Amino acid sequence: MQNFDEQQALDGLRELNSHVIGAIYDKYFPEVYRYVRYRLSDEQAAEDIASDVFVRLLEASQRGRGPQSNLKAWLLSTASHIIADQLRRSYRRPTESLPENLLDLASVPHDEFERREQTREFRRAYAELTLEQQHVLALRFGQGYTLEETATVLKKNVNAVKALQFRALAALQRNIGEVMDENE
Amino acid sequence: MKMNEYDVLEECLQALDNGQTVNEVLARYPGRERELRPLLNTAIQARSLGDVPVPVQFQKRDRNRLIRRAAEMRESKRSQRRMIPLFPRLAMTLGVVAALVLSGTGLVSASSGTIPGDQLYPVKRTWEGVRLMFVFSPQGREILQSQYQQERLDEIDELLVKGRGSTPIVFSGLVTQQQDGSWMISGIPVAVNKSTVLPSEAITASAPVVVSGVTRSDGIVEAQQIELLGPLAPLPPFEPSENSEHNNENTNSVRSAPTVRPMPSMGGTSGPATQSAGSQNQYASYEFSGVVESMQNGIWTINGQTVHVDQATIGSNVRVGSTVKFQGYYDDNGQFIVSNLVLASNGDWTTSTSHHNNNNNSGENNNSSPTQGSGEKEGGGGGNENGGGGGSSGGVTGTPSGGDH
Repeated sequence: MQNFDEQQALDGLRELNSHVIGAIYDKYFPEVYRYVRYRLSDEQAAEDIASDVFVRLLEASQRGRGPQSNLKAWLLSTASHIIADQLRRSYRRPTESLPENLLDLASVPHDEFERREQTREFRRAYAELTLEQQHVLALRFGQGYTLEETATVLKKNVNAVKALQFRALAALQRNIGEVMDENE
Repeated sequence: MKMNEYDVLEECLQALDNGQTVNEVLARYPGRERELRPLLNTAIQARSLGDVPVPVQFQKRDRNRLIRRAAEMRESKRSQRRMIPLFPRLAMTLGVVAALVLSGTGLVSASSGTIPGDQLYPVKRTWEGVRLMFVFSPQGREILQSQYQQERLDEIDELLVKGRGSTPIVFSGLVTQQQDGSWMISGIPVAVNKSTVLPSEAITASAPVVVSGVTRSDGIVEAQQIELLGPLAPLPPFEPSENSEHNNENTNSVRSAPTVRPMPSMGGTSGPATQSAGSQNQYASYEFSGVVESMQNGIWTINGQTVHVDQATIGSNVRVGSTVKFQGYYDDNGQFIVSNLVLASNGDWTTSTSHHNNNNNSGENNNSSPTQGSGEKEGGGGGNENGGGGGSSGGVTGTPSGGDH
């Protein structure tokens, strides 16, 4: 399967063909992982969720609920649903997350410290967005998808995606300002 | 920036994508700088977080896990197909039994010696299915399935010996030899070529596989697809045991076919193998039988297979033409290294004379009868190196002993 044929992949998936499943994994794991990692700062959780997405793909395809045409869109939507479930659970049991690499902070150079602080502020602001806003930003800016690709994954038209990304960026910018004000 | 503010932002983002700076982009929209600049700066920041490395090691492990999961699901699907609910199963069984009995032609017994392509072959397979339905203990089913897998191998052997080509076949077995495109899978010579569909995972020696293909008139199976099997897939035993119901069909306990057969286990399963100390024990151990065709400088030919006996404990009275049984393993170079070899007529592995034995083997036998397989011992030939203690280690299963799949 050097030339990845989507329909052939979907057929092979239903037959649980190891060769095809390996090819699907090789093609899409990096995208799925990057997407999840963008949404969550926890590296371990990102690995677990990305892995879970592919297991669900196998299970869904055996129950006849797998993707019918667009594998990538199905995988990313599933990843988004798993993340949403995880976030809902964590909202119910809130825990204060520590800054990334807290123990190292004393020893890092000033510029690096600044960069990490910015990242942390960004992540806090990002986490305040609605799930749909997080989703669209992860696709457009995390994955670098075009408007059309993003629209396919979101199952929306292009104009709706433009509006959504505008509102998401505006909300993110506002949240970042609030987070910075809190820190000051 | 009312009606088309979304479009303006999108145009700005695309301009940034094309390498323009924020100032260059904003210069195109005078009067909108105050609104757009913070959005574009936020977008740049949002993009910078997207560049995360993919954990390659995790990906590799996870990929293998997924492939294994798929294999398990495939196996489970196959078993589910056989697991028809009890009542319909009984009704169907009784119907088929009644039909076969009432036919009064002894169809079942007439079909017992058929091979794929014969008219009565479907009757034989149906009868096998019927028998499986009546076996309710998992262990019993496993043994019967394993015997049927052996039957498949026997049928293919016969097809190949008769030179009957173009017959579609499916069988499962262990890969025992891989030389370029010529593989040996449970004694069946298999041609693997560019059109053969192989799993993305590498297939190594001793891997359990399912082969789909067609027979060729030159005595080889041409593989169309080879799939890796899950760890608990039924595989054929070495030879039908003395208690086997196939015994009367296979009175020759040592085959005369030009191949040798591995004995994965008595029960025909190939689960994760136990590993014990000893250098040989990293390899799966096999038992074979065959006729010695030549004996030259530690390299013998048995049923057309070259084996190395330098380090073997060899029983007495073995000569060219003797029918022997032997244990050993495939080393990293794919050579078969014999550890024990005795006349097939011997009831056990006890040897009275040793030849070519460079190790300090005590000659203690492994107390494993040929029909009991390697399930009762550990480490195959390596058992002797362990001071005879191999069999007492825990976790010994009915598997190619000492295997490391």
